[in-house]
Amino acid sequence: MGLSASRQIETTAISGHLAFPTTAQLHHINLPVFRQLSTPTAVNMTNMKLLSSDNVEISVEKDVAERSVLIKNMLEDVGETMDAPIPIPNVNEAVLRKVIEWCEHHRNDPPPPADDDSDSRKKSTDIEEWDQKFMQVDQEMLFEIILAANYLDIKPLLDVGCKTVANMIKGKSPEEIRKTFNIQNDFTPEEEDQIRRENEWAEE
Amino acid sequence: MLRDFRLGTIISNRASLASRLISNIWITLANRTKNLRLWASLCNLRLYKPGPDITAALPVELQAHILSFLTVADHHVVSQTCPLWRDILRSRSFITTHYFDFADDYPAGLHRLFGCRRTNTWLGCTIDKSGITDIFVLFIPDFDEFRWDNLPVRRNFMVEYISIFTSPLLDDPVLNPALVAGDRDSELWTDFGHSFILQSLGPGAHMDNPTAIVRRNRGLLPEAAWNPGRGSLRKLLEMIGEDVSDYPLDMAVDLKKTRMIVVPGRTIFFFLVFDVTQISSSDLVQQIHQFRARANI
Repeated sequence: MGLSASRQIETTAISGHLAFPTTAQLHHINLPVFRQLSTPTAVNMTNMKLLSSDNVEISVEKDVAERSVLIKNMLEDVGETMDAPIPIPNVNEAVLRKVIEWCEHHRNDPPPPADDDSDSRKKSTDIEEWDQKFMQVDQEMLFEIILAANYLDIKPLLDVGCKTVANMIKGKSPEEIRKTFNIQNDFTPEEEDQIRRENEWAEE
Repeated sequence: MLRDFRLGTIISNRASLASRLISNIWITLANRTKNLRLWASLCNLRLYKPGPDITAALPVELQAHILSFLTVADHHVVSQTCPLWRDILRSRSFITTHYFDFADDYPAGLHRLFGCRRTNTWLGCTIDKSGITDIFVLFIPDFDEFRWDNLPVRRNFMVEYISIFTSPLLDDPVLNPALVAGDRDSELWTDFGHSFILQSLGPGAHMDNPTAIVRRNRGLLPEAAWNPGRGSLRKLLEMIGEDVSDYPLDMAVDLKKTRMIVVPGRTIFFFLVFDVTQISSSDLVQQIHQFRARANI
């Protein structure tokens, strides 16, 4: 424990932020060290910065940020040292913080199976409890999260978001769905009639 | 204040009596104009603060991704909400991605395949004496350029072949039990688009030419396949297979002129859309063999 903590201090010292940590700072530093102990494989705890579309810098641990395949690939391309904040031009601060919150909670998730993703999804709309609570946001935020997850290439988060929307669709009538999502009904009356007849039998 | 003026905010804040009065007037007006949809949309616009419209807020791929988590029963409902979602659900890419890769417990509907209005979707099956040995769907992307006679020279002719033999799609009810017999013909026409097999097997009163298959079934309708709500495409195909399995091998049956060609003993192709009248039966057998070789079937 003491060893790991000192290693942590050393790295911060090297990166030039801090030579002699105060008690408060030490306390701060200890947190990731504990996590590190619980997952021996995760070694790299360096922080990095993301720059939201509204120009807010958000500090995030590297392995958390690397839940995003986009960022992960970017870091791999650029190399390990990345001092300047990475701009995320499509995502604003509020959404980015929300996404990071999700990534932090899921930082130790095993990687999804590499084979065909359609197989692993199995069409289930089950969402684990934490994610359900996480997704209890207004629709605008929900869509923003989906868009951000898509842009940042965080497949599991994208799926959770889409499942959440799918669950909102389930079991509703067309009119209720339109109301829920503010969809304009721009069927012509003829089309609507035809579609109703086509689908009547399936709804019994 | 004035700029932010919305009837909705006032209505929700002030007396509900007034709001009811106003909406009553609107409804009456709407009824009178008969253009209910316009009025309804106007009322909607004013009475409720518009939230994000999901069809505008998300790109189509993501909407498709969302819809992919739903079951077919939900798809039926969703396709009635707006043209965009209907089109997504009927698009070929959606169908191939989401209707063919499914878990066993995932109910899907083959009829959707035929409802998607693709001109290049074929349903086929191979049969032998023991019955149907395979049922498959062929997607031929560049169908306009497709010719039987240039098939051998077209090296990179792409054909997607998907076996659906074990698919629960085939056991889905294919017909709308709510329809009366007279409507079934037109229903099939609209619901199945270009699926002439079903159309030509229908019992509709205005069928000008009952097909050979119906005739060979002693004039009886294929009730097992047809039975609304209980029949399925598999039953229908089995019945057809049984019916044509003793045809001579080199004989092609052209039913209803352009719509269905049966090559007994080997393969039945249901040409879901286009004209194959130009082909002689012996050519067809040969060309189907070439075709199958090229498509690695």
